[in-house]
Amino acid sequence: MYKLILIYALVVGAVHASTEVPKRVISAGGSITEIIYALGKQDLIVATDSTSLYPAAAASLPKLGYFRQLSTEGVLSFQPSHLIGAHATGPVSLAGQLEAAGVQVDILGEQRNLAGLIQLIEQVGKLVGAPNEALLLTQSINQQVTLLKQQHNSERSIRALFVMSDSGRGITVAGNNTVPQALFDDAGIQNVAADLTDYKVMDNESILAANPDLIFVASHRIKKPEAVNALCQHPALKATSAGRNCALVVMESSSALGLSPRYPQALATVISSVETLYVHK
Amino acid sequence: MSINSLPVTLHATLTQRHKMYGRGIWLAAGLGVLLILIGLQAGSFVQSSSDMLHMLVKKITQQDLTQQQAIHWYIFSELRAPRMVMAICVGALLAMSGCAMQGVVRNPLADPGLIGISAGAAAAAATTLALVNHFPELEIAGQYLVAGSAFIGALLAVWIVLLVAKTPMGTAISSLILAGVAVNALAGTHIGAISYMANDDALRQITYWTMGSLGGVNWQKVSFVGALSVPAIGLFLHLRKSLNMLALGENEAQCMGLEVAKYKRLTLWLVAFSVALATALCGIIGFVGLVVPHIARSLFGADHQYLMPACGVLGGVLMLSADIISRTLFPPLEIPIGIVTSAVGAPFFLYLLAKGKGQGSHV
Repeated sequence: MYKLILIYALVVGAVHASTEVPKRVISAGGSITEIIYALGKQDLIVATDSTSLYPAAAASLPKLGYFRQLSTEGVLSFQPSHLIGAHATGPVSLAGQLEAAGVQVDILGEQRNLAGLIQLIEQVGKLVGAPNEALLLTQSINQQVTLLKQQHNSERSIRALFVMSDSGRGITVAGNNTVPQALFDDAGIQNVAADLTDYKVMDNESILAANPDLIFVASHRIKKPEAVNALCQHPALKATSAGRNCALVVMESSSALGLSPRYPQALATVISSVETLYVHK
Repeated sequence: MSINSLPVTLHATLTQRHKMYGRGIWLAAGLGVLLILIGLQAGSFVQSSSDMLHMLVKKITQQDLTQQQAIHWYIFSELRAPRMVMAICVGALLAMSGCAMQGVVRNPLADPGLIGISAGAAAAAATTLALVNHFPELEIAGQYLVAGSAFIGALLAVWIVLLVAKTPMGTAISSLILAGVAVNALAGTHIGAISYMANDDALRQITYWTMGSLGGVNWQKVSFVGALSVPAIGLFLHLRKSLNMLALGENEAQCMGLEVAKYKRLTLWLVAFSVALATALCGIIGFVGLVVPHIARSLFGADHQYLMPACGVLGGVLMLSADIISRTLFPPLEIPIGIVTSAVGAPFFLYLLAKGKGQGSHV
């Protein structure tokens, strides 16, 4: 009998522990931090990683380094009850070591598109005890995206390229399975790098052959206004339609490269850029 | 001084010097113990010495720990302690490998990396990391697959090098080094190709793997490395006499009755095994195998009888120091230990070279 009571207590305890609202959260990954802020649960966060820079208040929280290479002791020094991490939070040994120390670890989100974002918000909402706020947020995002898509006359003939970074050796672009690809799909435009998977270096000749009409570039690449013109003069870009007209749009990196509640704003930027291009044409 | 008294004086001087070297090695071991105590106390999770003592007393007397103490006990016993033991094992293995390598090729600039061990391990690890990222079903066994493949890759690289350098007279050192250069280049090309094709996750993992880290060390890994380190260290100590003979030249060693070809092969495979073991579990940790034998040689002379154990102890001491620095320099961040050893080792090596040049002698 005692054993049964003990087993019952352990099971109830375990269930209770797993559904317990966290008190001290480590948020690893810019997307996760931004979602927690958007749900109004930022008071739970005790530390974040170095990619958690939005909103501005998140930038001033204690930093644990890059989310893929966190130090277990560094995390434990903040005595967290939970770690909520974006996909690829690591190293591999981190989760096991933290769980052994009694920290609940949840690594979320692999799908890099609107459906993935909605799922991520719902998961984070449940974990931080804000499922209703999560529902409201997802509804709002879905409505905004639907509205944007309805207002925009999708035109597949526009060929776009998203530049994540560039160097003398080549341009790193967003291929399929990336947030820019999802934005292009929702805006009804074609990604000229869709044959590549993830972020890859695309050689100059292939870019010239693909001849994009419109180029988007991550804002972290453009540190000075002159950098836009300099990029238009890149040997791989200057002979393309986009390069000749310098049809280059700077997009805020965290919302364009990661899953962010600002997805509708990023989509609005893409759509308005496409429409501006039409006007010029 | 008469002719007859010369051997007596020489013997007395050598005995005195050997006693001094012995004491020096014990002193270095004492420094290692001190570093262990510092390392167990130092880290991002700050706790005063009195609190730590209180926690230990409670643990010994089997009293219940507070929640705070339980977390600290976990950090103390499951995070800091295993990585310090691993640091000692890996440091000793790498430094003794460097010492043996320099002895075999009779060149103080030799490093185990010269024959492609680390590059072979990195090439295999990069391939596995890319595959694990591509096939998520492999993810659970991922870290074991990476370690296993790195170990096999390192040994494969050495096997190729030894095969190329094999002659009817034994292993030719010049061919060994040239084959090592070629295997290093080949491994570099392979890593480049894998990195180019790998996705973002795999690319970053490859980069971090090559930096070397003690972050994921647990008692399971320590037991594995420890169990294999003990016979390896024993064999290194056993090779001291043969390395001393080889230092006189291969022909001279042969005339003294040493089976040169056999001992060279044995030493090189032992070096390969030790470095492969350390690299497979902790990634590439540079400069320990190169710098520690230099430091040891400047302190304890070139006699492998003392040089080899001194390298083992100093290797452990250097790795313990590097581990403490990596954990405490920018808390709560942890710098990969390979960066620390290279950052400390490379300038020190340059200093030794400059010093040797200034004195008009070889380091």
